[in-house]
Amino acid sequence: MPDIIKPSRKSSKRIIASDFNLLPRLFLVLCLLPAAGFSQSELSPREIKKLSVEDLMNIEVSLVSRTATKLTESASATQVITGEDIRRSGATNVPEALELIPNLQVAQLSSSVWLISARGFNSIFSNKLLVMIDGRTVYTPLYGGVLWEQQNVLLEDIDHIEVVSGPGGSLWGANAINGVINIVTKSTKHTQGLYGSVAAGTFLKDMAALRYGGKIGDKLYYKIYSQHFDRNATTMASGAKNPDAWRMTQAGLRVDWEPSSQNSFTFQSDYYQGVRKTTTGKSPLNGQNILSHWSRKISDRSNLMLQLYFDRYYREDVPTNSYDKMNTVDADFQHQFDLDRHQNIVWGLGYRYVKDDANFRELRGAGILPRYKRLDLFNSFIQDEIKIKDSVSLTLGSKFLHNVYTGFEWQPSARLAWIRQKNTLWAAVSRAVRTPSRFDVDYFLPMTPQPPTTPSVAGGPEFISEKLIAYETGYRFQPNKKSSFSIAAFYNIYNDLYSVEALPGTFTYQIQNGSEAKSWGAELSGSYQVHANWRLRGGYSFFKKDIGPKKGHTFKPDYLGNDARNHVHLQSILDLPFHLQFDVTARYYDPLPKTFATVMVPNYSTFDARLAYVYHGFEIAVVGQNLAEKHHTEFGAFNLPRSVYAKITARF
Amino acid sequence: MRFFQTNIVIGKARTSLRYIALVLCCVVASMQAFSQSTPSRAYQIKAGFLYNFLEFVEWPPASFEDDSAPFVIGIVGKDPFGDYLDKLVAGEKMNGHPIVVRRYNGTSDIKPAHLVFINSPEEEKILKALISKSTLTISDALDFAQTGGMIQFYTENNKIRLKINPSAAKAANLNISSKLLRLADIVE
Repeated sequence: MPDIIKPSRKSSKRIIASDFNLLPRLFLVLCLLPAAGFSQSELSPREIKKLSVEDLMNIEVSLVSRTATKLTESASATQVITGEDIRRSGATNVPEALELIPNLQVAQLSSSVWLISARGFNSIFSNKLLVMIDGRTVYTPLYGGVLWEQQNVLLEDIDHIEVVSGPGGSLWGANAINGVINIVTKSTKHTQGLYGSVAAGTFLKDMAALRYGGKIGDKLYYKIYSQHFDRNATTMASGAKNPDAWRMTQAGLRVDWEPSSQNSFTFQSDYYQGVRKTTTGKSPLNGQNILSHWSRKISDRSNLMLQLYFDRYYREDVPTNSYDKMNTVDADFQHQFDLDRHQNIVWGLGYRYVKDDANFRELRGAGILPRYKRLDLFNSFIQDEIKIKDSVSLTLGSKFLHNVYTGFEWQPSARLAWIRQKNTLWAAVSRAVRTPSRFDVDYFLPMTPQPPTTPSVAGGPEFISEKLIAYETGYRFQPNKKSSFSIAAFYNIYNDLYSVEALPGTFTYQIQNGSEAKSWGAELSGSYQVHANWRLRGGYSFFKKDIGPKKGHTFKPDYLGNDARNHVHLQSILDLPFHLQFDVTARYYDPLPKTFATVMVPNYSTFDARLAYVYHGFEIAVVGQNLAEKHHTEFGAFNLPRSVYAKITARF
Repeated sequence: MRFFQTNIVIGKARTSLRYIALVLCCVVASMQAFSQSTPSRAYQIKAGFLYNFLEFVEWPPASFEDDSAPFVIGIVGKDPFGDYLDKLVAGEKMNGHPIVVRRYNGTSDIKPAHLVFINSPEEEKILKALISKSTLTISDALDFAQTGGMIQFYTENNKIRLKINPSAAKAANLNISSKLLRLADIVE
C-alpha cells in the first residue's frame, strides 16, 4: 500500500518486561478479572500507537511477571488482586492487603503478628502455605510459617497478588500444601518518576515512603525506594496497654534491563531493620535480600528462566532470650517448550542452601537443638499440559524434592480443565506434603536432657512429612465484561499430622505424626462493575474440618486449626465527582472455637473506609480501619483498636 | 453471659453492615454524570490494533467523499474504550484524511464508517446492515469471523490474537495486506 503513509511511527519497542509466554490458555480468564474501569496499569495512547501489530500481539493483557509464569496451574482456585485494588483499600502493609482476598483467613494476633492460612489450619504456627515475593520464598524453615512483620513491600509498587488456595500443583516450590501466595511488584518500567507519601494516625502512628524511578537509555530502568513506619500497641483484655508497638525502616532498589526482545534481566535488593517492643525489652530484627533473574525467549514456543537469590534475616526475641539467624541461597532454573501442537512441557530444577542459627539461651525454656543446622533442599518438577481437544486440557505433573529430614518426596497432580470462551470448569486431584521444619524435629522443652520421670519434650526424631490428598473442583464464569464469578470446592484428606505424645511408660514427650484430618469447604468470589465509576468485589468462604488422633494415638490436635467456618469479604471502589474517591472494605468472620491451647474468639465484622481527594499527582486520604467497634479480637485475646490515619501522597 | 455478649456483637455487626449498604446506595443515585474512566488494559491494546489496521487495509477511494473527508471509526453498541481511542487518534491522519471516532447505538442509527468495532449482542443484524458497504468490521464476539465478520479479537496465552476472514473483506471491496494475514488465524 504505497499510497498510505503511516503517521508517527518510531521505534517499535516492546513495552512489557516479561518475554515469558508461559501462561496457558486458561490463566487469561483470571487476568480478565480486572476488567473495565479500573485498569491495573496504564498504557498511554501515545505509547500504544507507536507499536506495531507484532508488538501489540506480544503485550500481555494482564501484567504477569516471571514468577506468575509458575502459575501454569490454571485449573486451580486462584484469586488475584491488583495493586490498584490494594491502594484503594487503604491497606498499610502486606497482611492488610491479604485481608482483601476472600480465600485467605487473616487474623491479626498483636501489633506485629499475623496468622494467615488458606483452607484452614490457622494457628500461631500456620505452616502450610508457600509465600513468595517476586519469586523469593519467604516462609521460614524454622517453623514453616511466615514472619509477616519482616515482609514489607512498598504497596505503591505492587502489581498484583495471586493466591492459589489448595495444593499449588506441580510447579510450585516446597510447602505449598494448602496454598500459595505470590506477591508481584511492578517492573521499574512502570514505577518511573518520584513518589512520596507521609501518613500519621492512631494505630498506624506514622509512615513515610519515598521512591524514585528513572531510566538509562531506553533499555534499562531502575528505582530506589525507602519506607519507614511506627505502629502502636494493642491492648489487653483488661484494657491495659500490651507492649507490642514496633517500627521498621526499609530501603531497596530494583533494576530491569532488557537488552533485546529475547533477554530480560532483573536485579533487586532490599534491606530492613526494625525493633519490636516485647514484654521484657526491645527485640531488634533485620534482614537483607538480593535477587537476580534472567529470562530468555528462545523462540515463540520455548523459554528459559534462571534465578538466583540470597536472603538473610535476624530476629531476636528478648522474652525467650533467643534469636534466629537464617541464611538462604537459592538457585532456580526453569524451561518451558511446546513438545508438539498439543503438549506444552515445563520443567525445572532448584537448589536451596539454608543455614540456620537458632540460638535459644534459656536452658529451662523451650529451644531448638542443635543450634546450627544446614537445611539443604533439592527441588525439581515436570509438568505436561496436554490439549486433548480444543476446549479440554489435561495437566499432569509432579514435584520431586529432597530435604534433610525425610529425604525424597514426590507430589504428583492431575488437573483437567474444560474451557469455553467465558466458562472454565476444572477438577483436580493432587498429593502434597509438608516437609518437617525445625520446630517439628529439633524442638526441646526444656533444652537440657531430662529423666523419663520428668515431663519434657524431646524433639521429633521420627517426625515425617504431613501428607495431603486433595480433591478439588471449580468453575469460573465471566458472563460479560462487567462481572466475573468463581467458585471452588474441595475435600482434603490429611494424614500423619503433627502430634506430641509421651513415649510409653515415660513423661518424655516426642513430636510425632499421630493426628489425621478431613476438611471440606467452598470458596466463592466475584467482581462486578456496577458503573464506570463503581466497582464491587467480594467473596465468601465456607470451611469445616474433622481433626483428631489417628488410631492408637491420644493427642488432641484441635488447636492446630483455629478456623472460621464462614468468612465474608466485600470491597467497594467508587470514584466520586470533584476528584473524590470513596472506598469501603468490610469483612465478617465466624467465631474461632475454643481449643485446649487457645481461647474462643467471638465472631466479628468490621469495616475500613477511605475518602480521598485526588488532583493530578496529589492525593490526600483519610482512612478509618476496623471502624465497626471500639476494638475487636481476631485471635487470642489482644484487642485491635478502631483507628484512623491521614495520608498525603505525591506522584510526579 | 457469654451467649449474651455474642448477641451484642452480632447486633453491632449487622448495624454497621447496614450502614455501609446505605451509604453506597445514596452515592450511586448521583453517579450518572461522572466522567469516563480508562478502559481495561485489553481494550487499550485493542485500540492500538484498530489504529494499526489503518496501515494494513486498503479502502477504495470511493469510500471518501473528497480529499478532506474524515476517516470514520465507528463504535457500535456499548463503548469499551472510553475516551482512550479518541486520545489515540487525536491529530492523526490517514492518507490525509483526519481520523474521527463516532459512536452508534445499533442498527437503527448506524451511519457509513470505514471501520466499525461492534460491541453489541445484535452483531449479526449490524453485519447485515453494513453489507455491501466498504466497512471493515471488527468485534470481540465469539465466532464473529466465522459468521461473516472480518476481524475478530480473541485472547490466548494472555495475549490478544486475531482471526481474519479475508473473503468477507474482499466482498466489501477491502484489501487486507498479506502481512497482517500472516499474523492472524485465517477463517474461510
